[in-house]
Amino acid sequence: MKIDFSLNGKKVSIDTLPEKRLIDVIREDFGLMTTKNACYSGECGSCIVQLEGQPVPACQIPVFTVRAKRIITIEGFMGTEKYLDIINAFNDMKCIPCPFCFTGKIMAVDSLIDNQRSPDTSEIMSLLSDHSCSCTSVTSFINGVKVAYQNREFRGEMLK
Amino acid sequence: MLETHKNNRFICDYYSLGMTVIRIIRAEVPGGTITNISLPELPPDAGVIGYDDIPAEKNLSVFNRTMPLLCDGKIRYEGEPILLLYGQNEQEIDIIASCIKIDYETDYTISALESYTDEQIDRELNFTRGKPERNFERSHKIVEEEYSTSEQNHYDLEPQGAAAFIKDDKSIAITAATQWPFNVRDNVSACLDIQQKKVTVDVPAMGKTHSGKLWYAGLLACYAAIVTWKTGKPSICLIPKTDSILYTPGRAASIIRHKTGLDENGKILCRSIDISIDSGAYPMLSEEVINRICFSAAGVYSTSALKITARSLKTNNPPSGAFNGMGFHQSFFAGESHANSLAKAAGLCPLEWRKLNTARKQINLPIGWEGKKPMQLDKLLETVAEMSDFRRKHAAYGLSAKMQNYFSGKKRGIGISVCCQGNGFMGKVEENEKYTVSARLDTDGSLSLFTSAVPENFQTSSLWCEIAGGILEIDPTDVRIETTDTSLVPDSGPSLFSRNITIITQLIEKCCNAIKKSRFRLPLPIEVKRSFRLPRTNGWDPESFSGNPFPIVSWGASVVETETDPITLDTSVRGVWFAADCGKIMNPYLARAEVESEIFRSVISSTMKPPVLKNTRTGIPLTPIQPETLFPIRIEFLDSRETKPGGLGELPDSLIPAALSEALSMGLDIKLRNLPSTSESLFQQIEHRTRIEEQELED
Amino acid sequence: MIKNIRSPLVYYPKTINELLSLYKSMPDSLLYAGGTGILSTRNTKYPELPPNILFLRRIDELSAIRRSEGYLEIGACARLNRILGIGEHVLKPALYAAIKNIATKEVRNIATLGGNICSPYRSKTLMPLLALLDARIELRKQGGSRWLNVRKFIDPDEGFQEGEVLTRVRIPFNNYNHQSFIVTGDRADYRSALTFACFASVQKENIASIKFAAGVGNKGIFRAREFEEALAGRKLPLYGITEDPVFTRLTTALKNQEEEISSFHRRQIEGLFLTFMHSLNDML
Repeated sequence: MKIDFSLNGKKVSIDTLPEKRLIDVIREDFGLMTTKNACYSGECGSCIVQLEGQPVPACQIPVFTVRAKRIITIEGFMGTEKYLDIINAFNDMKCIPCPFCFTGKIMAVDSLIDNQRSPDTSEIMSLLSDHSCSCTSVTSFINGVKVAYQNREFRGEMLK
Repeated sequence: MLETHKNNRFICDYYSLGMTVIRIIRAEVPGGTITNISLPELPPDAGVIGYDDIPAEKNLSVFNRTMPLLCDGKIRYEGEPILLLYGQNEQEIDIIASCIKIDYETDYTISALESYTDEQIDRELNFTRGKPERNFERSHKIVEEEYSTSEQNHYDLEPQGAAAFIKDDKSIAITAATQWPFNVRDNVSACLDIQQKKVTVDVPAMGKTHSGKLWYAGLLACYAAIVTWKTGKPSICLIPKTDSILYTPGRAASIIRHKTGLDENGKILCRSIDISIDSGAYPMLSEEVINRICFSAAGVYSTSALKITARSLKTNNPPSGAFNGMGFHQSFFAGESHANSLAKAAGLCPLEWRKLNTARKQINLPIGWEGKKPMQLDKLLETVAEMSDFRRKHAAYGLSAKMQNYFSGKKRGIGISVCCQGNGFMGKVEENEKYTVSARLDTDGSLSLFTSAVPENFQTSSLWCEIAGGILEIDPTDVRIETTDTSLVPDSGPSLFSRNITIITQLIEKCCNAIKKSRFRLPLPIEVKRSFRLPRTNGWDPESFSGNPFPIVSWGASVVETETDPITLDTSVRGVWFAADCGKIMNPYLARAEVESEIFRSVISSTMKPPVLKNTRTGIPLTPIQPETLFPIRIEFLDSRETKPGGLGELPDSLIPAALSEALSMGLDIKLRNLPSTSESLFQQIEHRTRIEEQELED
Repeated sequence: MIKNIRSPLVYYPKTINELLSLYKSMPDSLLYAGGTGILSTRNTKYPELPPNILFLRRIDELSAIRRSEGYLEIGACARLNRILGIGEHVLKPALYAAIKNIATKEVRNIATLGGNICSPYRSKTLMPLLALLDARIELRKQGGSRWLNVRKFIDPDEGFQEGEVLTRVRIPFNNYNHQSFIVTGDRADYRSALTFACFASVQKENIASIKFAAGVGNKGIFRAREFEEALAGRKLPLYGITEDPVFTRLTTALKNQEEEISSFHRRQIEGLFLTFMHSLNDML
């Protein structure tokens, strides 16, 4: 089945099985390996991509559902200032997620700090509880997210 | 630091379209004999491999133990690999896999842990010190209890797997998610009957392993190697998440019976401990498990009369693995939980009882050894008690627990535990091994480290770079840890039991110090090699229970405070306080981060339902759920009298379960004796207590 | 040889009429909206799907959310996070909490209300609550439609008929001034999750009406109507309710469901109900 969609800002077309999961399409057919997959059940939070600007688990999306949709993976997100808000904060707070859960956590944090107000600890814990990798220090993760929000807010004010 | 992540490849990243994929066809029954296998007609690029198709050695070898690579006709556990099915179209081979029919003759008896027979005993150790039986007779009080722990899975995110590639010179390159690349190399060369130098093993990026990738990757590497050898094409064998949870080596289940005699003051007079541990169908590591479980069974309390009987049992369960401590977790859960019962029987606060009974010197431990380093157990206990306000809370929650009323709010409890962590192997398994690390300072001023040791996590590699950079006064980013390719690096042994910290880190330091000395005298590049061999004299002798068990031992204590909803029995942790004496701390930040994440992990695994075999292929929890509420964690490292670095990653897993279980028990005025502590098990204990109360009323 | 590995054919209807017509001609098709209930339980690389799939997400009408004076009307394909976006003040605390409790935030970006109602695989977290709220669902097929109370929808004899599609859910605004909604149990093991919902309308120290429902895993919904009726009109505060014969009706009704409700869940339901009653007393 031929499916057209936008991947990291570029129009792409793929002829594949319609039931193939989006995570496997982006990894195998487009070679974008930074997004990982662990459970195929939407539970672990490793495979998050942005679909029409919203974070979604790519393992829960058969590719036939993304026809004419916009997908951003971590590779497409990496060069952006939004990404730098998070990564600089994480480096400053010594929050070091392992490369397996890295994508999922970064994408989820981006969505959380896009809100108008600073995320509180319980919201960050709730986010963390949706990601089953326990590789990093919880305290540094919480601090990292709070600083990431400040970075984004500061950048927004600078733009104004 | 994080930017480097995009270059990390896990084993699943080695798959590419067109590669031959391997599916394992597993036994659907826990025992029996295969009577017939019917295969559908296969497409040209697909094939199957059975036991008889293995080119040479048909067994996997780990230390001195073996297990068949594929089922030899007699099934010994549910999920045992019977056939390898391979092909290039994954969807197609999944359909073929579902069409393969295997008939079994199933007139077997299940060998279980609970009611074992003598034939099931794989290894048994008996240890007696003093005259326990005579001391029981003169004991003021005797407390007898049985504890059980269930099997436990790693729930690693990245899959277990291995890939094989054939090279032009007919050698084979393996990439395997393993903690022990040289063991993989040896097994692959044996099963293909090719020279060891014709096999190279490289290790991809891995998350925290918790010793779950010690030997199983060798099995998967052999599968990939056999298929690649046969087809001449690259192949990959990745274990699906469900299979990984159900069938790969996890933590062994155990049943531990304690019987302890106390004197009038609450001091231990004598102990008798009986341990059964489920080693699964193939007890690959039972020697080490039994040694360690015996060592830790009586905890850190001194007693002059002790009897321990420990046995590893063969059962119809998948083979068990090392999993963080290999026996220490089970021992300390039972031992520390029993310690709380002993404190209660003696009418003492658990903290005071522990201080009364803890050993002061290693030689005074139940299994004494000659180590002369003074222990700081009282200080550890006092540190966590003060941090957590243990004495006051224990008294207050104890009173409140007596007023069991639905509507009197959430029930709080507090528990304390103390334990140790043995770093390195205990038995004689590696006494003839020599482990080497080399380092090279290049002309551009950068340093390359060569070791086959696999960092347990990403923090370990950062630590090595920092240490090396610190000694040679170069930027840590100029330090490279070279690939673990077995053709390029020296054998640094298996990476578990904190050996990376206790052995490899020291070897790296030695290499760097040697380079530092000759740095301005010799031209660059300078390459230095340093080796470690376990001392042949004074090592631990499991037969006589004497000698030095570990190169270094770490000690820890912890307090856990919990809150339980008396109606839903949902539990939450209110705080964890942790103190450790673990030698020289190389990097306090990384040490704290490691302990913190292990505490979280241990809290989750102590309260999470284990998966059940049989008909549970859908609906089993595939990932652990993190606690939704943050609890405060305070960590203190005591000034250690030990100058070498010790491990600490296994301490939380030995401390938290008992302290957590005691806190939950206290809040609800029950006694939990099994792990994990799920809300159902709380309910069962409440029912049990109610029945007893009703019985007492009737009487 | 394994032949004819056939991938499903996917149809993208744009209107409800187009959908109903396709569904009539292919009644064995899979209606696919968010698909999380389907994919999460087929955790193999290639999920096995039926030969024909009708993809519902291109039908705007099915995702519409409307608010009228008396009720909230939600299209069956409205995503859960979008429903949460309506706000807690409109959804009321119980429904808001119930939706927020479903899966992870990322999954809620694709999971739909219709999926939660129809999925046979996962815990139907919302069903006890929707039943209490007297929610009604619209089932449409070519040539006709019907509105059905959620309570009746659970009844196998009253559920879907051939060619019918769940299109809308209508949730009446209610006047219950006291609401409780609790999900308890291991989130990772849906079979043990207990959903408990209880509403009461208290007027002048009297219980004007009270309703409660509970569900365990993906099994049915437990209600005790006689019990609810017996409590209606009672004066608050109600002390010693465990000794009250009315409460015995509840415990008996729960015991009669022994196959569906374990003793552990029975204890939880009774306890949660008693807590709710205590909170009514405390209101005074």
